[in-house]
Amino acid sequence: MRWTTGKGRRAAIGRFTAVALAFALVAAACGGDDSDDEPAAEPTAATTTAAPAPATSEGIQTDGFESLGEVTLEVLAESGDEATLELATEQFSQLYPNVSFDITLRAFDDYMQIAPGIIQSDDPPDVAHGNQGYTIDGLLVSAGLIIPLDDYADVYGWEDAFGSGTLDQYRFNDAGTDFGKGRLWGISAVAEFVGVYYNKEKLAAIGGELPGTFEEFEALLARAQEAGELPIQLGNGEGWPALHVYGMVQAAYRPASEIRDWVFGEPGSTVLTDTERQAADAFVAWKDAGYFPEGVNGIGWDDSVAQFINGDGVFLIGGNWNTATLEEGMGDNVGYFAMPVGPSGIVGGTAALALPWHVTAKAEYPDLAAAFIAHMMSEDFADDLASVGRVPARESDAEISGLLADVAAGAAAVIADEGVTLYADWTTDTMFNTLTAKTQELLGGQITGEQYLEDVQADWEAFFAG
Amino acid sequence: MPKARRPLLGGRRAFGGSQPIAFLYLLPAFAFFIAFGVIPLGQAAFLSFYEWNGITDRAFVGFDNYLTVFTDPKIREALWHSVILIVFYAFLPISVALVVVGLMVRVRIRGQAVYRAILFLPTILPLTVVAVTWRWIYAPDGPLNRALDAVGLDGISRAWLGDFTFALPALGFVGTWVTFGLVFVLFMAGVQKISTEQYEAARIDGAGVVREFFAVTLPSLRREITVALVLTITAALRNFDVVFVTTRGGPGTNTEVPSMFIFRSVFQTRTVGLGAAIGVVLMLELLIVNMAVLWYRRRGEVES
Repeated sequence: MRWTTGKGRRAAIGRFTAVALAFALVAAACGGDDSDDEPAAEPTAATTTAAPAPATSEGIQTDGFESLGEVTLEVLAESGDEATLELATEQFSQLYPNVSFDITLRAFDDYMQIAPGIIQSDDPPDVAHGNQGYTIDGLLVSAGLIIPLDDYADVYGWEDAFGSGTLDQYRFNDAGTDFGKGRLWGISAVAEFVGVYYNKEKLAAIGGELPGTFEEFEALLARAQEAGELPIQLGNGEGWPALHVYGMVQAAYRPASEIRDWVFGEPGSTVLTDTERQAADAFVAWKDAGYFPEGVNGIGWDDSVAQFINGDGVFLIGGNWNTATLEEGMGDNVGYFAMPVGPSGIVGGTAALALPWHVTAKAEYPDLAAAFIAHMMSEDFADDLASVGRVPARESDAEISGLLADVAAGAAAVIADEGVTLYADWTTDTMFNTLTAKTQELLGGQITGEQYLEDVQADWEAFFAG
Repeated sequence: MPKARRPLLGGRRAFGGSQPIAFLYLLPAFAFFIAFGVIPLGQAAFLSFYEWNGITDRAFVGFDNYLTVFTDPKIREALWHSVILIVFYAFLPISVALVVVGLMVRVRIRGQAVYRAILFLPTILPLTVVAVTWRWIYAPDGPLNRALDAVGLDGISRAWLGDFTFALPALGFVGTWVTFGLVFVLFMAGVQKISTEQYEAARIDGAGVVREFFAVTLPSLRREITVALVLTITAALRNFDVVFVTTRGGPGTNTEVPSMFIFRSVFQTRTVGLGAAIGVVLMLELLIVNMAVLWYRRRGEVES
């Protein structure tokens, strides 16, 4: 396997992949010997999954790729999946020694800027990451740069594995203008869920137990403050971290299906409802009560995570991609739970699957590319995902321990309760900028909750009216 | 009154018509300028009349993008911020540097070279490094706030870059810090070219520090001031690095600058035409302001 990223590129990879980086370097250093050290059981396990139930769609090849001779799959990926790819490509190459990989990795911001151009170029990759929403996936679909995966989803049974509704985030109409409906263009097996991390010692010190309802969670916040602790650690310098907190409050007041409809641009959807107003009021009440740090808009997210690790704050509401950093910093002292969003104890909140894998329109062997993606979607690979610190989105009986076990359990619970509310910034091409600016204005006391909702809805109306 | 100095190269007209072959020496630089200056500029101007997502076919929209630039309140706000930044990047450092230089003419300070080097340092540092450093300085528990707390001014300390009132001035001050060294060194060099006779004459005429400054130092530095203005105003208007690294336009939209919109238009919302239009407007703004500066200098030279 060849890694075209080069050594220099690795330096730019984000904090998240520190472990992955070490792994990759070790793998690179060890060369061919490395694969021999892998558990011998793996190839067998992989074989059983890569050759699934008989094909239901005509003409799709799911195995027997040896007949292709020497082929190279080019993969363009966001660097968060570096370790995932390392494992997957190695396993796949053991299945089909004639298949080698040419992998290019870029850090998130970089990736989103350059990926569409590379996928459009004369020499595009076979498999590439996209991103949910109009700015990337919508663009790729409208330009005809990627192929629909519905037939592969049938053959490989993805809808049963992940839940049909869960996959809506990868659907677009053929023109790329209607998000959440139509054909399936991508897929990922990784969950990227926002939940609540807590400092175990501090929660115990205020005599708290894990909340079963949203009311109980709010009571804990009040109790933490009385005890002189910072209830919620938060740094909103980037604007999006508070959005994740707001998403939790929003999920507590509105049904998840309504929130999803709004993200998918269902006609008539609005945030100007009584329930959403209650959510905005509740969020503002948290701010007014001083549940967030002083100067919250002037603190970067990474700094707030560091503060939480240093013992400042009882709770930290953030995405599950923070797990490795937090566990490294706090050891056993950090726990995670999915937010109970209602009196009934169901859980939910801002959550989605990770960046989708796409098969490009110019892929020479689309069936092979899809088979490789299917390998990463397989039940067996779900266990491997956990081993590289990713949270699998489908059930697996992987033996996970530590914080990641809490996180995986939380994700499973949210999926079971159908509490996934997606990421609000996918909604329109400008929504990310609108939301980041507006959450800062809301937390800075520049606008009221009502104004916040009106401004956000104005962005929605402007996009879907045109 | 002091007579105007001759321009440095003013006496040497030999370059012109007499030896046309001299133009050949300009060719490499000119080719470079065409390839990396004029052609991209032409492309940007061309694209600014289209709606284009960077991938699929583009559609001609006439002046629509320019209409958006001048009617979108957010972009207008960003253009206004860039004007405010001119105060911090250009006027503030130039004023302060003039005062300091005026004083140093009188008081000879030992170890000038060391001061000069220290003051010039911010100018040669990469702006991203500068921005990261200042983000740390302005942090809620950063050195600035700790210093304020230590002297009992804890009422003032705040998360500077997250404050709706102070974020823009705080960023502006970073610009002042960066450009001051350049401006100061420019002026010091200028002052050293002023003949001591002029100062002696002024003193014999009974001029004090202030009079001497306005009668001798300031007029003699007009050329340096012009150069400083052009450089610093350009830096202010095209400011991107510092904003991108520190606030990304926040809190809210309080530190938005045109270049952030160009970045977002091209890479995030994929409205390449709009980004190009903002770029063209920004370039025109730069051109107009700098032309005004140069025009003002010419007028001054004619008068004196």
